[in-house]
Amino acid sequence: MALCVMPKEALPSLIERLAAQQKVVGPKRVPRGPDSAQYGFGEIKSADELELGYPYTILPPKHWLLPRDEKLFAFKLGPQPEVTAMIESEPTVFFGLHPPDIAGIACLDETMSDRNPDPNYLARRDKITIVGTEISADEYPYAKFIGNDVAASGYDLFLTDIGDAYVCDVATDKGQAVMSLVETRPATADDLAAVEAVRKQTAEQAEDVLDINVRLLPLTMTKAYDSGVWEKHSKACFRCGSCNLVCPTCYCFNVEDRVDPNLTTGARVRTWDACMLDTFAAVAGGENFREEAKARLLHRVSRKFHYQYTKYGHPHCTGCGRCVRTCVAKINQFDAINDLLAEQAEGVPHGR
Amino acid sequence: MVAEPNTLYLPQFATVDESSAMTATERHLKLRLDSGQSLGHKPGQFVQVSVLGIGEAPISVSSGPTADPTFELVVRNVGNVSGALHRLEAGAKLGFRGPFGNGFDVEPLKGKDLLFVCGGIGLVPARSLIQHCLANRGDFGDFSIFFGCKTPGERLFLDELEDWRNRGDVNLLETIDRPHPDWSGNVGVITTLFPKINIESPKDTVAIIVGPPIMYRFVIIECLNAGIDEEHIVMSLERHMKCGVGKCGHCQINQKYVCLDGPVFTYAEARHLKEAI
Repeated sequence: MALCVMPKEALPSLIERLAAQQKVVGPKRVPRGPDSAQYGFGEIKSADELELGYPYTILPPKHWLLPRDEKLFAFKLGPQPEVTAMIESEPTVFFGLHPPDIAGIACLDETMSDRNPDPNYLARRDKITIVGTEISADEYPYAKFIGNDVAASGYDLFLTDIGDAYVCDVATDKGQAVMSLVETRPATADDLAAVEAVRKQTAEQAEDVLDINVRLLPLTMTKAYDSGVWEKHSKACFRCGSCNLVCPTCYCFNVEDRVDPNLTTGARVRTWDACMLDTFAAVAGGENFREEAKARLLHRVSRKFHYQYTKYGHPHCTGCGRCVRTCVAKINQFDAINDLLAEQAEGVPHGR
Repeated sequence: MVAEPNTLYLPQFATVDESSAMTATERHLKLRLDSGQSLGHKPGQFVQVSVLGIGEAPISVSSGPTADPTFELVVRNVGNVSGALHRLEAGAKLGFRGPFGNGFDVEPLKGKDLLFVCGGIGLVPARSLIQHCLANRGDFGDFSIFFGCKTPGERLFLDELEDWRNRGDVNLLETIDRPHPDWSGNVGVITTLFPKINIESPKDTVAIIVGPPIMYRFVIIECLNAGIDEEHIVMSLERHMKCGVGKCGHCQINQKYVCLDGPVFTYAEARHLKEAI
């Protein structure tokens, strides 16, 4: 729609005006001892809290779209039980998402709109405005491989820091509504060249992490089922499910009923679940269809690079690297894939 | 993206018309939709059954399609929800969503010889198709039913088994895994029944297989050896499910969701799904 420039000193008033209108969620410092900090998405009341230069966050912003505990409906027990549908949603701006997390929301949009559209997710998503910012390649070693070092779409507004100002790519009406809160000037050729320079630097910093073009991975994965790499790389798995929980595209859920202490009312709640937990595919009769860790790792990697990829035409891994960073056992799916590629190139099984 | 009213996860209500014990672990429930409408299911579909305050579980509809607002379930007492369903008495309310799943495709079965191979509570989903086909018996050729159980006490629908045995146009063969004092019939796993029938036109025979996971690969081998086409070997698969609508991820087999793409698969499809059987 438009490319404009906002001086940096306008940011505090923009945040203040936005926060007066609706909920603003953005990267915040999470203190971790006296000298270090991690970052997480949280509600932003003033620009002081907003850490736009953040390296990455522990969790993606998915819990604002798919809450960890989400009430699907309220119920009243008794001889004549009653149910009342619930959708909790409110207008929210995600301020300062990195391209991998923007891509993660695009993946969730596909999954949740497909076949039986999920009314709760879509109601919430409809009210969300996405404002993106650039990443540093050092913090996202896998983003370029996936193609998410630079965001091409999926945002309403995108801010590129060019020193004393932000070049603002206004992509939608929602983005325009945000920019209408502050004074801007049209972007010049010099501004756009500055954006280009920022992105070029990001691309040049990124290292190749896989020995293959990502477009070929679905084919690689079709031949992966009998490989020994899954056993080799899943041996150390603690079955904690952390990789699922921090993944911006993982959405699998459990459903449970919670009864209030009065024992007559309650709610059906969906909670995050994880396919790397060992009972995820177990049925009541006792059978477990993915009893072994190697089957679970293969399943998870296949969802990212084969099943969903084939269905939607792009990987459902965003390259954010959170699964690698979070894994207690230091399991790296990209290492597993590199072993798989080597195995396929040599025709010799790896890891057995 | 415009949100529809949230009906995807919201159950409707039905009332328990009858509840009776079938075996030590199975209970038969006849339910009546409070809406007064028919469930409108296909044979082989399932419903997500809710006992509010306890939870929800996927359960196969065991009755054939009818125009009236009733349907039947058979519930094995293996968990919280199924345990709560066992405690429901006539007049109790329960919630349900569905019907879900693809169900059995009846049209391609017409004119074919049918061979049902049912292991234990596999008879429950198969019965919805058996009832439907027997109600239109003239549409089908030879009609054989294999029913195998571990013990005589696990046999289900005893009156109906007698009806099928006596009606003259159904060849019902039963077996029990190991000898038992209360059993004078065939003994051995279900595959030992195959030599007892003559599959005259294997290319015109459809095998419908429903049973525990371990059963499939052995029965499929028998069917293939008999000359039945891969496309004509039809089975209903069981998986863990939390939503029934292709969202929760639990029932995924490779690219397929059992709740949407299944639970009914042909062997021609399932042989390409590494985790299916």
